[in-house]
Amino acid sequence: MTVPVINWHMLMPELVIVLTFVIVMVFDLFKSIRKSVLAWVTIVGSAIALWASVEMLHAGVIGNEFNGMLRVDRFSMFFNIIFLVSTILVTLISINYLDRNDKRQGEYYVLILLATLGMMLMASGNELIVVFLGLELMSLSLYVLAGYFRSIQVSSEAGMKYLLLGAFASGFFLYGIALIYGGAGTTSIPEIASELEAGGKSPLMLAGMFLLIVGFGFKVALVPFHQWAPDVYEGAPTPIAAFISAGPKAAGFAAFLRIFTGALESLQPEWIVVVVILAALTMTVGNVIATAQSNIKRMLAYSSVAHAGYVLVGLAAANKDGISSAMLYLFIYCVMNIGAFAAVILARTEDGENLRIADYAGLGFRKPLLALFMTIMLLSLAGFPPTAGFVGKFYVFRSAVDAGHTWLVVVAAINTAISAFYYLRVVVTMYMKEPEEELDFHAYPSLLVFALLLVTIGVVLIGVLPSYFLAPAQISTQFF
Amino acid sequence: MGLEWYLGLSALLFTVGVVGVLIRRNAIIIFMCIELMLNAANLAFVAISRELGDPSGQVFVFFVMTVAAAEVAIGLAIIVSVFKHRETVNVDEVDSLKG
Repeated sequence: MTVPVINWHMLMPELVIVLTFVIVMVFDLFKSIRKSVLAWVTIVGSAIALWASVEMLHAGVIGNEFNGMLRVDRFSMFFNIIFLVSTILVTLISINYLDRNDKRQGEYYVLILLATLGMMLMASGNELIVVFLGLELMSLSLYVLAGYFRSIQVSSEAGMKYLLLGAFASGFFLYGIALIYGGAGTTSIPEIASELEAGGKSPLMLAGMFLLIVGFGFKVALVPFHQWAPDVYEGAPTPIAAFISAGPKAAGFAAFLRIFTGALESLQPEWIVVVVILAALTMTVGNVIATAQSNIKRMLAYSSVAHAGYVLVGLAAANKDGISSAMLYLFIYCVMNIGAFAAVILARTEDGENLRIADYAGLGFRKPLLALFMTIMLLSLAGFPPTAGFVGKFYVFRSAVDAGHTWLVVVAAINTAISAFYYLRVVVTMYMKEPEEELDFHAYPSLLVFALLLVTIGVVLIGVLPSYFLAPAQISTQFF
Repeated sequence: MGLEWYLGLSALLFTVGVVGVLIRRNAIIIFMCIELMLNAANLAFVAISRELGDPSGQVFVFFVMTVAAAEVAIGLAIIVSVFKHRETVNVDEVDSLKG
């Protein structure tokens, strides 16, 4: 028997995350170590993994590891960067959010790291088994995190709703894999592609493909599979809501891209139609319902549903331009959405968080810094220049027009106008309305302000120097 | 027996699972129906694996069983924590999140 050769250095980011996860678990056992140290270990570990991913992206490392189970290339590195940036930001905003005396913080950070590892496996999985295991590792950790405050009724309820619908979606996803295995006789992504090219389309493959789309649709909250999103975002702890809206969505799209442009490329005419319809539905329903929300977390939930629709517009183009602009959009979306949730955490009073939009009245002058951060994030989400949101939307729409989906871009543009209404409504409430009652807001936690400052710099930087961020996305799509 | 029979049975099991999730209101029963969906996929894997003479499908089943066990452990814990608050696991009555 021969021992397979494994190039461990190719798996650097994953290994660093596993090591960090072990260190956090062990440190958690010592009573003498302050719990905030665990958060810093998480941040440092993720930062090292981030650095490794950036280096590997620059170097252009390419390889198949574990007998072709994992594919390490620029594409997976680009997504690793998205996940790790999200993890670092979410950990930063969690430190002040969790109670200093909370004894269970170890679990919290361990689960965040495990979810990150699951996402990384999804992005680099070259075999449907690995993608499924990564998906489950991520989802199972997130179910627990959504219900983390088990003494609070809404939190455990959010956990249960996420669990039931997430597991339901996994069932569809798995059955889709089973049918594709039946149709192609293999679960390896490159082999499925060559099998399809040689053999043509069997009904089993088509049925499997649609089941996979349903599974992905649930995971990234596309209309009509989005019903869980607002409830889960509202009930989950706010940093976790930010995390669920960012990383897992990017991971879902990463695996979607790998499978649909890698394995099922020959079925492109069939799945493009579905993607175009889902994109139009997701944008329109998400934005229209968001205008009717009075709770800011629910509004952000519907807005994140709509943003998944914009990413789909890029995927509908299904060429190098479309995919790289969708990847850039995902990166921008993750950063600005975590920023928006962080601004929500910043607006805290004695009785917890202030989630009614009406409570934000008059904040513009009473809490200028908070209102400024919130305004920048919302303007970016709405897509105003010179923020990152504008850049992301511009590239996505342009690639879709180039690919001939003009009417889809018209729908997207109308949707952007609708979304400006509800984002700007919050800004108007903050600056132009007088508060009904004086609310006693907490002092700014320094780490939260630091995280928001980072996000703001990022959002403006991408907005001003977009090509610096688009270029890595473009070279990452070379394998398609 | 041919592969079609096994795939037919697995499709039937899957449908029973999906319909169960959609019409039953007890969280535990919904959870059981989800397990049924996963096992339908397992049956398809094993049958296809035998037909092709390719063992990787059976290996896949082991992974799925592990995942399903982990899901049950986490799922039941979360459902118990909801039950502690509401004294019910009927998903229609667990409705404090609405918009």
